[in-house]
Amino acid sequence: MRTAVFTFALVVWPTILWAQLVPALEIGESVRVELKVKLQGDFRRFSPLLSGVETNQLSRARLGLKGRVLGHFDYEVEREFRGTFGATRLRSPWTDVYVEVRDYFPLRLKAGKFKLPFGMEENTSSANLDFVYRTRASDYLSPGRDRGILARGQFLRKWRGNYEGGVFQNDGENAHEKDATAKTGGATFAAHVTGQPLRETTLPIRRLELGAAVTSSDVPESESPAKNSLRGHVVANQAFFHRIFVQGRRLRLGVEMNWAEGPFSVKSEFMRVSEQRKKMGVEMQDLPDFISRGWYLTGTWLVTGEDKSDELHPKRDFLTGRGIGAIELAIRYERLGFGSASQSGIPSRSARAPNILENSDRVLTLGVNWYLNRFSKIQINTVREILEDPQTVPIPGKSRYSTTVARLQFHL
Amino acid sequence: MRKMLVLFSSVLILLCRIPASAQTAGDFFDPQILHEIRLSIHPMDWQSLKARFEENIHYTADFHWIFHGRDILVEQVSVRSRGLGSRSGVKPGITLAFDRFTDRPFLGLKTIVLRNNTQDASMLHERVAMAFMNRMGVPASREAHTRLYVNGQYAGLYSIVEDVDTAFLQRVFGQSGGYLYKYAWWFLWFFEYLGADPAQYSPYLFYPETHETTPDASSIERMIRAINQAPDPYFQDEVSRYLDLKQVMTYMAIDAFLAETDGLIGLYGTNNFYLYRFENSMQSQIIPWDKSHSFSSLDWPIFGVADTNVLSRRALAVPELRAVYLETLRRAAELAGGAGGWMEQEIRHEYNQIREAALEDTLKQCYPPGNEPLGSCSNEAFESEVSFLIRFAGQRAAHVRQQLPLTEGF
Repeated sequence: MRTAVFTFALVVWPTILWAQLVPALEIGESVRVELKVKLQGDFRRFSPLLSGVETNQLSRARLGLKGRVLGHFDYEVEREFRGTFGATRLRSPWTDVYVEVRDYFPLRLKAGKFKLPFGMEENTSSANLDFVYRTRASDYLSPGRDRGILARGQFLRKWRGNYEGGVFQNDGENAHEKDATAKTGGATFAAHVTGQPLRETTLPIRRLELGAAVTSSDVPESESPAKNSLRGHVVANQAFFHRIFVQGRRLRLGVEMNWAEGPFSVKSEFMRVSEQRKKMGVEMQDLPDFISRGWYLTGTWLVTGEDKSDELHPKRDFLTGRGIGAIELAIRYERLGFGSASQSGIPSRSARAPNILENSDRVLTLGVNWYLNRFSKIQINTVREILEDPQTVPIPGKSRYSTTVARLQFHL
Repeated sequence: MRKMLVLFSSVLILLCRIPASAQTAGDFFDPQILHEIRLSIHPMDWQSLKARFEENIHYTADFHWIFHGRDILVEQVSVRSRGLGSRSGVKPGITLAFDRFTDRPFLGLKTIVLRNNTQDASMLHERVAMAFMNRMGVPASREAHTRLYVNGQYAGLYSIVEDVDTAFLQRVFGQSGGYLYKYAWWFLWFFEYLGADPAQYSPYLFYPETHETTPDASSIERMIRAINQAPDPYFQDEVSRYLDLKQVMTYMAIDAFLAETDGLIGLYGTNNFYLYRFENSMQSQIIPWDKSHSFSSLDWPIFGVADTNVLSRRALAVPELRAVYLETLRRAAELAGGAGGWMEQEIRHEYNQIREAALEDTLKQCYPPGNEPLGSCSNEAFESEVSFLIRFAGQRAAHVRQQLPLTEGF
């Protein structure tokens, strides 16, 4: 952590200065280069104490470039450097690496590695989250990044309709297992639409944006004992629902809602994932689908009065603007649960249970966000979790967990 | 007519797959019959269990107990490879937990062991020894033999062993709220004091089977300190605060009679026992486990290697405890009997019960002479070891009695 603080001091302030002086490097009209920096350090306390969980950690140390070449090609390259500063090395340190073609076609084409268009919160940059952590559902049900191609465009302009659709090599890094023998989903189709159907009304919720998304992939059988379904972890990143054996189609469905007006915002998502379990029974019989469900409801209020609907810039920066920056209060309630499509038979925790004994994590998060300026943010969250089945949780028999976390963030 | 046939078939199916409520745990360990257990397990899981037999990975199975022709089904049980020296990827020893996935015990049993008997060519040591322990008044696991089938294939002859868990404690002591530890063999340890750090004892050597998150290791440390550091005149009083020493002497004497080389006072340090500290008490009792290495030789000395172990050496120096030890040996000789006595009858009964299943077991394993790696075990080796056991039963009591008068100088 000392290294992280040192790095932060060494890198951040010169970078802020540089960013304010030179927001982007341009070579004529054909090349534009912007620097991307994302640094986040977390200071955490857990109750009860969990063995093997780091209390203080460098959560993100990303550097990247983005911009445009030849007028029609947007690009982005970003790499995670946490491992360089002593954190556990990531299996895939390159985060976003893509090129997007614009203006040539009626739609935009994007190719490379980037997030699948599923999950509103998952597709919100970690620098712009209302809370330190994404919801359990976003972390474990959304697919995350993968390599693929995507087309996107607009429809029904009066409703500001947007669509995205693509094909990806696999079904995202969030579903991956470190154990290479655990097979994840293969080629994945993903689609996402959003729109503001009340936009032309005079209702106070006219900025309400609704969306829906779907992904579909085929998950091959894993070599026992490596299991390959989705799974659930508590905030401290310890499992409350372990992977089970699945084989067949993995289908994600999601709906989302986002409303922001003045200093207020409300967001919500619901996700459902069904995974087939062909021949996964002890007698190689087909089992009822494995079902994962997650949802959340979030509310925020910028007490200093900034407009939430735009990119948030404090009215008066802390110190340099002779102000206090922007202060935001936030509350979120969420649930992530796992079970089976059929509840007939004995409920069981086994990885081959016809009737899976359900387990869920219900989480309440209260937060304060202090935006010092447009580059820096301090977030303090207190998280309360209640688990349904106390036998498969990080500490057997213990169903309530709490986490307090303070995050220091700098980003460009 | 068709309706009648359907009705008749339905009744027949129901009778064949009746719920377990009609049976008892006593039926399950009924030593008068050779049992039949069938496991349905995903073929990939069974293959993995055998390939990764050195790991404690839990797999799912459906358990069928064929009892008097009836198929008694328990779904969603947990099976995993088990054992230390007996671990095998050819004929895996299995710990079978009925309640791990469902919270539902079977006939009041939470866990059983399907022992592969790979360290005993006769496959009788364990069951005969435990029966003798029970006969001598030391609470021990109930055992029976079974044919085991996995996915319809004969997987060999196994012993069904009642696990030492809260269900066992409730049965033998009428309580289960105390502290139960399983001794875990890590190195040659002879009850020496390892220092004041409780973590040196538990969960390291004395693995908590109850109160897992609060194992009260300091009580174990105090017990070991008393065993090592109590002055001679106060040894019995001080150690008896923590350990039922008379029960320990009885236990050690039975082990000595059975020529056990891998028990509480073993050749390779202490091993193979549970320790149970009673509810609201500081005093513990020893519970036997794994008697594969009993019946090692006819003329095993009645004090075995007692002088190598702090507990046995100091306890046997106390006249009252020494008397308990010698008296237990005399009683063991009496209850085992000589030729044609209880032990020989028990061995012959068990042998006749398992012989056919043992000969058909092509996966049976044992250590060849010279303690080579575990290998295939022949039918000749099986018969030969049974013959030795019968000789042991016939002659051991006399050997022990012969040694008894020679003990004054110990």
